[in-house]
Amino acid sequence: MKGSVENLGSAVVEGIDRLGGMLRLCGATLRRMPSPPYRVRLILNQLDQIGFGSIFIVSLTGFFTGMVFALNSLNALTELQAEGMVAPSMTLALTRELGPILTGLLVAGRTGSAIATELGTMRVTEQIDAMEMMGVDPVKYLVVPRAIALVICMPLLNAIFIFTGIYGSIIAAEPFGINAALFIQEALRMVDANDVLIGVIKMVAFGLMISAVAAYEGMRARGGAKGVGLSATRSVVITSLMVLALDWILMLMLAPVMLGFDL
Amino acid sequence: MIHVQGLEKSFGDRPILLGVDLLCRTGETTVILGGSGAGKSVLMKHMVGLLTGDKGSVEVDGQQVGELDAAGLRALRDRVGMVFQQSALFDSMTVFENVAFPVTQAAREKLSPSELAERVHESLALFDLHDVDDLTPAELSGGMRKRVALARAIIRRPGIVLYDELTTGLDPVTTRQVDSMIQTARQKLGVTSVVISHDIGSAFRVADQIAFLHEGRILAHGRPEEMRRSEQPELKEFLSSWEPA
Repeated sequence: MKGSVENLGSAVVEGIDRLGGMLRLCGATLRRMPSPPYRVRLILNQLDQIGFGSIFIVSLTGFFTGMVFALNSLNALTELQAEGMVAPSMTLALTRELGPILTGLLVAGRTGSAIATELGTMRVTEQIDAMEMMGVDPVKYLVVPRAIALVICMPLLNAIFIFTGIYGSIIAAEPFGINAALFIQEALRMVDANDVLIGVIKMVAFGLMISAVAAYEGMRARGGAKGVGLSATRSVVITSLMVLALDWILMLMLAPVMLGFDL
Repeated sequence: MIHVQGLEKSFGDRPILLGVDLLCRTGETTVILGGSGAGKSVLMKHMVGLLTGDKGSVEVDGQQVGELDAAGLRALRDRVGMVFQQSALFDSMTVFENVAFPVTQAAREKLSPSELAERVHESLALFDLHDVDDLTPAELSGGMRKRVALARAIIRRPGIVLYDELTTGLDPVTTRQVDSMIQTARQKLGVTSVVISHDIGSAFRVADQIAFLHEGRILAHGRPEEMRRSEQPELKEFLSSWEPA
């Protein structure tokens, strides 16, 4: 019993320590963003890897999610003779929740693990120590370009997810007699600028969080290949959970102000 | 010159350095010899401010390392090159980009492409490396990686070069190449060298001075021939484990 309590206590302390480290790294990244040198080439490389490299998986997931979600909705709505509601409900769901959450989870898995693995390998092979020895700030050189690329890419990837999701929904709705023009007209009726803005805010927050968590886990890697593997796994688990938690926290904060209702 | 006085360092309850005194003279090669876990790498990290001691002091060219602020540490590290045990070459870059890195990224010197190429090729040529610009670290042999790492460490002509366990895991032929590379750097550039090693043969080949570090203390320090004749019991036992090829 005493051992369990001690284990729980040390796990809590370690968790708080880890969260503190991630927040410190996030703060250090934000402080370094506006100051030169800007290293545009590194940012462009990361935009290519993180943004361009994620377009296929995000589009495909968006398309199938939209299609399946629309089919399920249409089956339920047909019984209520409210097929016309499928367009607004799909668009709202994709814009407010499905798009940000699923894009966040996809990028957390794909990019979070890649960042943790790359920086973890650099840590255990002393490349980060070498960088420090040469007077190059590893946060500025390694973390800032990734954070900037994620902050730029995330809202764009979210937009791609929403568009492909709506396209999937339109294809699913066609056999039910809802044509594309009608679908779009109904969809636009329910969505306003605040829905889009909330999505952008969420995605910027997810981008910063994923870069801080993945970089922190990578830079703490110890002990060779096993340590790098563990840091990549931890990065994916933590970023995925934090996407869900941040989404909830942001909706609690933003919904009363921007959407006019409390959660 | 590097002067370490009464340096103590613990990690938690585990003492690592228990009052180290050491003098590394300008232009000489000092080998810090000792077994695994003796505290050699910890001692070296204090010399460039990567670690701060609990007690004692480290002085590099008259400056107290523990008292330097961030700008002072950067200036110190500008004057010190370090070659890591695993070479620490950036595997996403070519050999050329690796060697140019301290100039283009750390110092951010504004050189024309031809000036930069000249500097890089000059450093590589010091260690007999030619036509390797476009190779990646993965395409290099163990010995070549060490030479590229040294070319990178000296491209800004530091006054001091630190070598961290360079011969670990290398075959005898490559070990001799690495030894000769350390001697080349000293002869051609006149650098002060500090070499961390547990390789006795290599230590005797490159050293002007050897300091024997054992369980956090320097137990013996002197010229290689003095160390061979030393009656210090732990050193005698350590040296007796070595059988010259």
